[in-house]
Amino acid sequence: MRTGKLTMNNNLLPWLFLGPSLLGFALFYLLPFITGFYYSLVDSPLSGNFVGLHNYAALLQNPSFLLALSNTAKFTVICVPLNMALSLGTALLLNRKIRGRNLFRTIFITPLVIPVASVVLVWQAFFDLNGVLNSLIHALGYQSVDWLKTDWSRVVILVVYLWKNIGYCMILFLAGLQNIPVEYYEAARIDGANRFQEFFRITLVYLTPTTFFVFVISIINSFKVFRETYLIAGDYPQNSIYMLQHYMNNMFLALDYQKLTSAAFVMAAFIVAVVFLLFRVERKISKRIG
Amino acid sequence: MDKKSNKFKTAVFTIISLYLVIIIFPFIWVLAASFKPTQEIFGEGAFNLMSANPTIENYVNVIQNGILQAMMNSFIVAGLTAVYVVLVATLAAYAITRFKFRGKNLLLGIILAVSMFPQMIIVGPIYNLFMNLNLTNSYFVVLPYSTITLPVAVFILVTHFNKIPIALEEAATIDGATSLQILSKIVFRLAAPGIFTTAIIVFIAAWNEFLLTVTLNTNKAYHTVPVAISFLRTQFTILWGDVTAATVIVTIPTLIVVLLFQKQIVAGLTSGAVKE
Repeated sequence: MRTGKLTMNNNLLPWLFLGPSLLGFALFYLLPFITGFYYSLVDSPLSGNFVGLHNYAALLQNPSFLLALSNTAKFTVICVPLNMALSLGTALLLNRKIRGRNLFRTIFITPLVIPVASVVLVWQAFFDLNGVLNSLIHALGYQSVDWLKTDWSRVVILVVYLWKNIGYCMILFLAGLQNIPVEYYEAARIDGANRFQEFFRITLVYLTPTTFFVFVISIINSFKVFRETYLIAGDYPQNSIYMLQHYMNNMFLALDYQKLTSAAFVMAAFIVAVVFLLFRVERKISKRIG
Repeated sequence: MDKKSNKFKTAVFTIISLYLVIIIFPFIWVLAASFKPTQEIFGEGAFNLMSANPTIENYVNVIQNGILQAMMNSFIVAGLTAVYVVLVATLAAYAITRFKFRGKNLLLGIILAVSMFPQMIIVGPIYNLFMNLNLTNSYFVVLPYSTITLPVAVFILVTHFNKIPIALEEAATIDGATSLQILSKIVFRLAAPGIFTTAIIVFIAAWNEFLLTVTLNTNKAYHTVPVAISFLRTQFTILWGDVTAATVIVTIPTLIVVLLFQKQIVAGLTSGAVKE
């Protein structure tokens, strides 16, 4: 047993260590969280009449919410696989001795640590009707495209998301790749395996924990793309990029806590369900690897 | 064989370089644009690296507009958050890795779940709480900040503590050291790199936080950098010159942090992704 002697200490001690964290957590997360849940069950925070699931039922009839829900879902379904494929691809390319690899790595993590608000305005300048991209298109003799006010906006957001996330996920994959023992590949080569077999039977299989982690992170970050979308296109962007958090944000500004909190909890329930499902799948695969 | 692998290397190198150019492009463009007069930022001059009439007017404008105050605020808020979170998260991670107690798995589950929920759930109630306690427009925004970054911090620290051999602590216990002595004299020292990594990751997360500050601190005097920049966009116009200059000013400290601590940042970002 790893923990051996130390478990002999009295049972209060761990809670003493956890105390400061739990106190802050209770005050600034748990309490607001419960209050939020309460808001989602009453008709208004002021009168506080209990209405059960009425707010949730109303939400599912609300066209803005449904639009936001379908946009968020569509975006996640498109961007997550794309992000994973591209970051795994880059990781595979970088997983060898290349001069300047450390420099590459540094550059790859910069998008992640630069304040969103500042980069976003660059994207805005880039995709604006009179912006950088259009002046390039114009110079080449083509018609300008209104990137943010047409369905192209979805592509814009996708580019912004990928720009920010590929580097991080690539680093995660790189760490995972370097963790696979070289002997496996050597053994496979002796047995006459080709590159494809190596990739599918060794690399992908032993990369499962990392892939799982990247998958979860990609999904969570795909929800967070709201911050970029909001800063690029404001409260009411073009219809195809109106996300769940736009809806929540606008309800917050309208002080409509019922709609805000019920929408937030629907989203939270989705996230929990997806992550739970993923954990089950991951556990099954890990068991098979042994 | 050699020729083939050389070709392959060139191809790899080209793809990676292209990708790097895409990543770097916005930074270069911002840097170039920040020294241009407004009328040259878009249109024909948009791709010129050097302006025909270089100017530092944009920088003068944003500094007069209080970007340095915003940077101060960001440093205060992110610094306080990092110190506070690392302190309490270290204690929590120590308890989680070294003691057996009831409800531990539930606790870890909650920690994981919390870091995934939309922040919007708690922003409304926190706003009400801060209004009631008269804490809006103050540095108290650090408290909810730390709650949001705490799960990640605990997660990274738990990974690091699990790597420290327990034998040393057992020996110290036999020699009669108390838990606090063990923590300060052994664990803290051995886990120092991990704690440092955590501090940087928390600092960066707090530095980039937007939603809480924009909601709780409406007074300009308490705006952090991300919020201050977003306010350079008024309802009708975007002050592009100011925006680019402000971006350069606030990006420099972040870039320095990344360059100095890239090893620690990568270690922090990848903990949890690889099973050891």
